[in-house]
Amino acid sequence: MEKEGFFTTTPALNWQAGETRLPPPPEMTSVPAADCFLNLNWDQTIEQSTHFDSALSSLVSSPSSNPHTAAANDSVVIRELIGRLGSICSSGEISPTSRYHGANTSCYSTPLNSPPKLNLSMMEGRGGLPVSGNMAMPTAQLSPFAADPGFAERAARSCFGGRSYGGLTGQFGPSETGKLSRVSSSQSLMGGGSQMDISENGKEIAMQERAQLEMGMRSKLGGRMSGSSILDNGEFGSGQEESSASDRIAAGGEASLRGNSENNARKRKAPPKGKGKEAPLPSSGTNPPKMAEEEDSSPKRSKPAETNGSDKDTAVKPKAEQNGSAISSGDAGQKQGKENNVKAPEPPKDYIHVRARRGQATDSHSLAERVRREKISERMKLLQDLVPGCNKVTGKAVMLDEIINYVQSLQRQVEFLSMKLATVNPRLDFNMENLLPKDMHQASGPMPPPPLYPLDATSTAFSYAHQPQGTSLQSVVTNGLENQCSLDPLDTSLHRSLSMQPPPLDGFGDATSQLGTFWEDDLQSVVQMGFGQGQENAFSSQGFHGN
Amino acid sequence: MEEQQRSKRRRVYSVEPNALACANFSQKYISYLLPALLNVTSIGSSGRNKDNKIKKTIRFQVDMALVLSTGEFRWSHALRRKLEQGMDPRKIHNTAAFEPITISTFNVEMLGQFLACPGIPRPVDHVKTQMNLKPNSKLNEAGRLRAIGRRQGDQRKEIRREEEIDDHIKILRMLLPGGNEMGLSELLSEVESYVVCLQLQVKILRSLVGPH
Repeated sequence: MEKEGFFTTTPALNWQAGETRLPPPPEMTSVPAADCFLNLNWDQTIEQSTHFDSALSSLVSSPSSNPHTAAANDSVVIRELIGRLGSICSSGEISPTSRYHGANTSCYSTPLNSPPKLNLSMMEGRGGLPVSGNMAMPTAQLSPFAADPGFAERAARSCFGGRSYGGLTGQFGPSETGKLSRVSSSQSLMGGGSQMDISENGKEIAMQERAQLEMGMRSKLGGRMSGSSILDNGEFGSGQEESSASDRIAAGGEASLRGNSENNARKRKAPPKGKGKEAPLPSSGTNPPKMAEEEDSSPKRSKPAETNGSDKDTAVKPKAEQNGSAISSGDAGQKQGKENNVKAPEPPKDYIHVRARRGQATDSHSLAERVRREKISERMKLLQDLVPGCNKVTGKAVMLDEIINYVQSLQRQVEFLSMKLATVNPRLDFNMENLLPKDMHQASGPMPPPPLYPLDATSTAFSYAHQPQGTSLQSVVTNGLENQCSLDPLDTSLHRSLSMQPPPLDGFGDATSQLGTFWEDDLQSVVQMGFGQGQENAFSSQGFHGN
Repeated sequence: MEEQQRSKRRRVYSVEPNALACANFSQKYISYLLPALLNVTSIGSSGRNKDNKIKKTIRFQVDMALVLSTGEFRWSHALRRKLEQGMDPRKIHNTAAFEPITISTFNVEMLGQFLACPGIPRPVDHVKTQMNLKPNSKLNEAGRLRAIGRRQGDQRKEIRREEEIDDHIKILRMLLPGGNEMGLSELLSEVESYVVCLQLQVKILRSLVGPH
């Protein structure tokens, strides 16, 4: 065979030759990477094999000198495998062994790795490897080396520029075919779900799929589903998560890539966040939910959470993590088991879907009512966070009372302060009006002045006030803010910056404009820091849109 | 020149989007209010009622600034409508129902007492007497709230709580500009934004008034 012919030539040359040819093959072999992996197609191998592949396989095989026929057979298979490896470029699966190897480490700690005398770190270093040095090793050692699972992987990795190929997932023992199929399935999975968190999946798949390999090659979908279902059930032990995981799994089964990415996205952030968002209710329990419903769930997940259309037709999927909600706390025990899908499987996109909980009426009226109630309770919770002193209070009536009191007190304060302002105002120096730019008078009253302009006016106002009264107004602003804002260390710098005002100006030329801009900056920072603090919880779902 | 360039380069950053919105609001508010205030003082109305006029104008400006700083809330639109109709500020905010604050008795200490003192009859009661609330109504919003909170319970208690809640909601509607036309969920969300805006407004006004 030509491969053996290669082997007869200088190994160093082989390596070199192989290395130079490597870059083109990845492009051409990446296409068939995902498919036909199972199919031990020698012709394909030969077509796609590069010189490197053949060299490698020839190295590995070393058939003539190998006394072990079994090893020879293995090496043949391994050669095939390496051919596969060479053809697989796009997948990024990381097997358990490859996790050891990580990024080109030379930690060959798998059991089968122990024999290799081949210093593969050299291989991993560069493509054009001085493997010639290693070629000197006795060929007798090639047989265990041939069985080295990491070898081909490392070789491939080195050749393909450090891309991690978990293709050879470790234990290439006697059951090569089984492993091959396993590799193939994982490869196919990886090919399918390139967006996934690959190490995670690789690990899971390696753990989980062992048992499944002997069942033969399933479809990619089936393999992934089972693997991820096992994984999910293993990882998320809580009832809610489990059901939601199974929920996700079935959903993932429907749309392969999409479901997979969502599945993984879910795994990363364990509890779905967002007050305003509505996530699918994990009321499906452990039963594999109906496919139709899952089709609903997966498109719904990313949708905005506002209802549209009539109440009777729409339905909402309440959040599972609405802990504070009395409904969820009351119904938590009732969430498992039977579910009723109210909507048809193919709803229009504006609709949000609910599931009636167990033991509850499935009447559209009551469902809509429940939807409303949950929305309202959600808003009440937000208000609770907003109004100070409402956290300890439980109960709608008392909370509402508190809210009312708070709003009233705020209004009264505004009134009081505006009256106070009226008394304070005349004290401002009336020279100001002469100093202000003339355009200001046009922008009086309720008309909103152009956006940039008022800041200048404001800043000039501050600056002019600063002049006659010394530092009174400046200190006023500073102190006022200081008193009102709950401060953090930022404020000290703010005060410093504010106090380091330039001395009162004599002229009204460029100096004023400079001061004005300076004030503007400080005002911005003041406003941002002073008034922006403590408002994190202000609008979680509603929120201001940028004014 | 350098200052200007620097100011142009500098932006108001915020990790919290809500904080940014609040900062925007504050900025706008100040930018509207201060020129208006300066105009008011510069007008310098003569004669009597100068103080009252000024106060009214200032109050108007304060409210208007609030309106102009927030364009996207229903209460903002409602308040604007009220302002433009030229309503008495007291009517706008239902302050007539509450303890009137006269100028002569006006100082900070009193205000502090006024706000904190539990002995002062709560405005809620005043409002309630005004409103002639019906205690019993089947389809009320309190029913919804009640259903949220409790499943079992004394029937009488529930009804009473229901009414109480209903009263509160009505009061809230009165407090919020334009609250009468909103549904319950909308009302609550508007109240939320209104509370935040009021808080910011109070902060700004306090800083403007100064430390006394």
